[in-house]
Amino acid sequence: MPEVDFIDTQVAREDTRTLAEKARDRLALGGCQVALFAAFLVGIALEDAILVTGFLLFIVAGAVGWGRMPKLNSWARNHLARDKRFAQLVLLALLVLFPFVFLDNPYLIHLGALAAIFAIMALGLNITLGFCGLLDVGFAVYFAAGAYASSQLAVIFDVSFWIGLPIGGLTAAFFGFLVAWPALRVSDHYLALVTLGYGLIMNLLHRNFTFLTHGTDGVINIPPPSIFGWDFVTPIEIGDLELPFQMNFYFLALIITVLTVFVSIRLRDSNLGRQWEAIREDEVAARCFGVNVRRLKIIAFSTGAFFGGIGGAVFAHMIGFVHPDNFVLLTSIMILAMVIIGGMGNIAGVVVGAVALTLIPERLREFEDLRMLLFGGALVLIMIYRPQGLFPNSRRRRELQAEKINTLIAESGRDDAEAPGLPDEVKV
Amino acid sequence: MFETWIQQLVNSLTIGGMYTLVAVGFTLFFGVLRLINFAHGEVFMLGGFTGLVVAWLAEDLGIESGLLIIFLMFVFSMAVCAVIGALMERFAYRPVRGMPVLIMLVTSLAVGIVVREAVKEFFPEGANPHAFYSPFKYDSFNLGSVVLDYTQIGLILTSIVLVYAVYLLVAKTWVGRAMRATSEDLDAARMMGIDVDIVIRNTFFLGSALGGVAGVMNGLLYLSIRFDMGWVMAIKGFTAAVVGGLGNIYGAMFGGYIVAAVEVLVVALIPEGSRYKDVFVFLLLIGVLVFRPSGLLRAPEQKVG
Repeated sequence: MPEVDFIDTQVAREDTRTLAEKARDRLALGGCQVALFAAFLVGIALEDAILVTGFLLFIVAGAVGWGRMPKLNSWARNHLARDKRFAQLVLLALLVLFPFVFLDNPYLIHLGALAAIFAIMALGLNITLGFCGLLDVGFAVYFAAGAYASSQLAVIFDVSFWIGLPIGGLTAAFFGFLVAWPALRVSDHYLALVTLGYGLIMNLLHRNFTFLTHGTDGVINIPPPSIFGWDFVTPIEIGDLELPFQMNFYFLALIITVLTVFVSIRLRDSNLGRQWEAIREDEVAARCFGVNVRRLKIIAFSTGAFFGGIGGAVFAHMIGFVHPDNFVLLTSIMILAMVIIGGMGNIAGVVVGAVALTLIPERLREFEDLRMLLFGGALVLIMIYRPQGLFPNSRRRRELQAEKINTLIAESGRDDAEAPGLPDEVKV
Repeated sequence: MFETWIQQLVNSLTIGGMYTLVAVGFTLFFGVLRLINFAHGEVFMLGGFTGLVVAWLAEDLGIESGLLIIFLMFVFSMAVCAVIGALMERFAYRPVRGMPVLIMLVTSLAVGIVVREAVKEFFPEGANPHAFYSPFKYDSFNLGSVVLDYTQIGLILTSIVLVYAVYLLVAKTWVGRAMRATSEDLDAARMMGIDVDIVIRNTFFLGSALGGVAGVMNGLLYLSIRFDMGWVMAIKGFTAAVVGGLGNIYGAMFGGYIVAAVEVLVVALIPEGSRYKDVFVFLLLIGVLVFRPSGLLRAPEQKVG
């Protein structure tokens, strides 16, 4: 039986539920969300690395079990789709509540802000890689461009963060535009190598162009954003309650993340997004249908880079310090891993990937350098057992299954092998 | 002036030999698997560390002869790296064989992280640089007014001999023919009765062994090894492979020398060049990929997969 795909095939059905049924459904859905969120809070509040590991293993086991139950899966997805707006509102409310739970632990709020920043960048890469299928292994370039541009504007020219932020984004977009030109002429491995080389060159320039970046001294004393004379590092006081200043950054990053998600969704569903998808699926066919591949690829690179730069600008002003070590290849790999692990092309998945990959390493600090070893090992395992990511874009999931089946057919040496459980379209 | 140029030539031939050995690995892997094995740089690094361990053991055993120790280093690091490479292939790359480029790419990057971090964590004092064993450190002889280092001459000869051996293996033997066939068309090779799995395993044996040799050479030349040196060499190595044309084994044999020449020339001709030499190497990489994706040596109209 071919897999029924809800996201693709579902048409807007009339909601026939009575008011009571609706309330019941929403209560159940909201309850599930709150429960999941509570589990998440417990997870990130765990201090002990062993406990964190146990928690992660528990999640992995749960996820594997969840994957084994397709009926439950589609049932849940169906419910989610029906009350989508409601679920989004609940999620937003929970995210707003998040820092208030940890008023006495500002570090966690800081982590939350960091996760949101990386989510912005991962969403940017998701536009280039997930929507348009362009492999970019040098995403740290845009991160750096945004961070350096906005921070140096603020430090040298005393430009406000609110002007530096869009300028940082545009600078990054320009760097995306720069790499798009050579990148247009190559694809696949060669594209990966070109963007990789670009990232390495830029990192060397960050270190050596000291008049622009202060080299390995880094840019220091970056002023925090301020609004109407109120500084972001000044805690807000409500009555007797003093809210930690990290909360200001958390909400700033959260608002920008929500905006980025919104823009991503609109882009995906726009004419532009459809054309990107066409390019990703088959460049030649897209060109035949009149898609201006050149122009769209440039737009994809620049748009993705823009969000990378926005993330970088917020990062610089939050941390207050920018150093070339922030923008090494490993950063690019991390952002790439966020997108892939989350599920390329799936906006919610990418955000989850970004949050997971920011928080988990921080919570495993006790393991120190062993963390990287674990990260590498986990990445290999994920590539082998779940290459489509945790929350795959439905089309991509089918593609990868098809590739696997085709490989199996080829390996078995029999071209006539039936591919059980797959629709005809995947057989080549 | 003349002496400096000779010196530069010798330098570029030495490091060029090293790059070539690494590049051959890259190009072999790309040929049979369509995979850019980013973990290859870490195999190179492992080669260096294996050599160091062999030198320590040899000292414990009381082996006096420097040449013998160096020979043992080469042999053991070849063996260890060959096995590690084959294990990588079996447990990481085979499961993702035939998957989209991105998946294979990230897999190899992740495998590289695993190997690098494992050395950093589990090798004694792995995070610090280690002094490498070298019996002929300061031995040199004069040729006219040119001072030549024994180590460098030895390394140049070693790399040329090895590259020639690889050439013979690939061009003249059955094993090499199977490799070339698999590179050209995996399915056709399979139809001709070639066991592709074995060919790929052999390829990883060969390529990783060469990487290991390069690791030892690097140690003998610079007298110091670090757990994170593999990455830089990986970049030089695949730049060399790209310059020669990815998948083109004969091209890679020259690519290494071209990259080394560029590096040495940049350092020699541009003020403060040593800070920017890597930038030029990466520019060479991008330039070749964009303008001559099939490599400098092959006619541009020939298409490579």
